[in-house]
Amino acid sequence: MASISIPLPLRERAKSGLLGWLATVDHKKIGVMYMVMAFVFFVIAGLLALVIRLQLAAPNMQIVDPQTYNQLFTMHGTVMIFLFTIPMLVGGFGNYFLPLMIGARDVAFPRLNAFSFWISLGAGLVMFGGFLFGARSDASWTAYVPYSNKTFSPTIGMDIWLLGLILLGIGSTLGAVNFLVTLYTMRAPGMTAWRIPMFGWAMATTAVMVLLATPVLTAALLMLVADRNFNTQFFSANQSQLWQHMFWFYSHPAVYIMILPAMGIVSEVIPVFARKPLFGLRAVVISTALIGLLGFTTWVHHMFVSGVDPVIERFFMFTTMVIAVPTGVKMFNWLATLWGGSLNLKTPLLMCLGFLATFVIGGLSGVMMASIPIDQYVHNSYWVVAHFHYVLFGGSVFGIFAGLYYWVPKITGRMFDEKLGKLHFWLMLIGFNVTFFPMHHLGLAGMPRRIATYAAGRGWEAGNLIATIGAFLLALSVLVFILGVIKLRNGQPAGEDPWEGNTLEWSTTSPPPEYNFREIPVVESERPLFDARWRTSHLP
Amino acid sequence: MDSVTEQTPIGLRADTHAEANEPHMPAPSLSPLILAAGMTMAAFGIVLGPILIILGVVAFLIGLGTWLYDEIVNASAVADDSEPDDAHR
Repeated sequence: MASISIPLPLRERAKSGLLGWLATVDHKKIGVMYMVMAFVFFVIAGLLALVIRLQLAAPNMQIVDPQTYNQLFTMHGTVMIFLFTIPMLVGGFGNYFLPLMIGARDVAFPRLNAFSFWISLGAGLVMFGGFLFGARSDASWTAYVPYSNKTFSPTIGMDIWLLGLILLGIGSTLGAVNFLVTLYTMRAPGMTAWRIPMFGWAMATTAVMVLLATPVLTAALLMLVADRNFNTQFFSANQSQLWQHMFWFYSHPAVYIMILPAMGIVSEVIPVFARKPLFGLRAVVISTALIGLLGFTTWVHHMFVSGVDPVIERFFMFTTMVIAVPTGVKMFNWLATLWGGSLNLKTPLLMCLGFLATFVIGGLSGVMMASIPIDQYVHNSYWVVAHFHYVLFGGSVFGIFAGLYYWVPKITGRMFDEKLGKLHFWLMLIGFNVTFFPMHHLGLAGMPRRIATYAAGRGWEAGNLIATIGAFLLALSVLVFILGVIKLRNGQPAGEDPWEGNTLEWSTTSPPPEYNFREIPVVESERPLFDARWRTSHLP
Repeated sequence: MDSVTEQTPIGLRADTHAEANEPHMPAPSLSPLILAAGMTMAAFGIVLGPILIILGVVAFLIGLGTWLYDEIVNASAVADDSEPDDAHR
C-alpha cells in the first residue's frame, strides 16, 4: 500500500529541527511543547510570586506601588491556573501519555490537537506580551465586576486578558473533544472500561468537565468584552452577581480540572512503587466520576458573602461538604494501596506522599470553609490563600512533579538524577509548608488577601517574614529541578521499563517511536505490563 | 481470548492497525499553526486595531485553506490506495 504523503517535501523536512516542532501533529511532541510552555510560565509566575512575597516580607514595604502589586497578583493567579497547571496536566501529560496508555498510535484528531496547542500558546504569549508592554489587567484572576468593567479597569489590559482567556478556552474545549473521542474510539483491543488506566479515567472526567464548564466562562468573557467595548449591560451595577455565578460555574469545576489529572497520576504511581495493585480500583473510578459530577454543584460556596439567598447557601454548604466524601474515598484507597506494600521510595513516590500529606490539609480546610459562618469569617483573608495553595500546589503541583519524575525516563530515555530529585522534593515540601502554613494564622489574625502592604503592630510581621523565606526555599527547589533536567543529558539510559510499570506506555521504547507501537498490544487485564512480566518469568 | 467487540462494553473500534507492518502516521502540517496565529491576531485586533484583524483574517483563511486542501488530497489518496476489503469504521 502506498503511503499517504501530502505534502511530501514538508513531511521530509519536518522530521527534525525547528520545522519538526512547528509542523508536528505527533501527540508526544505536542505534549512536550505543552509541558515546556507550562513550565516556562510556571517559572515566570513563580518570579512574580517572589516579588509579591518580598513586598509583604515586612510592614510598609514599597518595592512596587499598589497598582503594580494588583497587576502582579492578577497575572500570578492567571498564569498559574490557565497557563501552567491546566496546560501541564491536561495538555502535557494528557497528550503525551493518554494515547500511549490506551495503546493508540495518536489522538483521534492530530491536527486539531496541534491547533489546540498553538492557540493556547498564542493566547499565553499575547496575555503575557500585554503584561510586559504595559497593557496589564489588575482586577485579579477572578475579574469581578465592577472591578473589571470600563469604569474601574479602563485600560486595554483588561480586554487583552479577556480575549486571551477566550482563546485559551477554545484550545481547552477542542483538546477535551479530542481526548474523549480518542478514549472512546482508539483503545487497544481488550481494553474494556474497567481496564482503562486510572489516568485515563481521570482525563475522561476532566474532559467532560472542560466541555461542560468552559463554554459558560467563554460566554461570560464575551459578555464582559461586549459590556466594555460595545456598551451592552450584561453585568450592569444591579447584575454584578451574574458575573460571579458564571465565573464560578467554570472556576470551581476548574479546581477539579486541575486536581483530577494529578489524582490520576498519583493513582498510577503509587501502585507501581508500592508493588501492589491499586486498592479498590472501581471505587477510585466511581469516586472520580462523582467528583466530576458534584464539582458542578458547589460553586456558590465562593459567594457566601455576596448576598445569595440563605436557603440556596445552605444547599451549597451541604454539597461542598458532600464532595469531600469521594475525595476521602480516594485518600483511603491510596493509603490502603501503600499499606503493606513493598515501598520503593524513589522520587515519584515521595512526590505522591507529599501530595497526600499536603492535599489532605487543603481538603480539610476546604470542608471547614464549607460551613457558612466559618466562610464568612475567613472570606477574602489569607486563610483562603493558604487553603487554595494547599489544594493546588500541595495537590496539583506535587502531582505534576510526581508525573514528571515518573515519566521523564519514558520521554527522554534517560533517568533523572535521584539525589537531585530527592533534594528537590525535600526543599519543595519544606519550602511549601513554610510558605503557606503561616498564612492560615495570618488569615485568622485578620490579614486580608490582595493587600499591597500593611502597617506594623497588627501581629502579621512574623508570619509574613516566614512565608517569604519559604517562598525562596521553593524557588531554590525549582532551581534544583532545573539542574536535574540539564543533567538529564548525562543520565543513565532508562530502557523501556525502568520502574516495572503496569501500563502500556512502558511496553514501547524510551522515547517511543513516532507510531508508538509497531503492533497494537492486546490488553487482558488492568495491568497489562505486569501480566507480560509474569508470563515471561513463570511460563516456559 | 475474547474478541474485541465482546470484551468492550462501550463501543470500541475494530482493530484496524494490529496487523499493519508499516504504521502510517498523519503528515506534519503548518496549517494548525497558521490558523491559530490568524485567530489570535484577529481576536486581539478587536482591541488593538483593524490592521491586526485584517492580517489575522488573511492568516486564518490561509490556514483553513491549506488544512482543507490537505484533507481533501489525503482523502483521495486513501480512497485510491485502499483495498476493497480495507474499508473500516
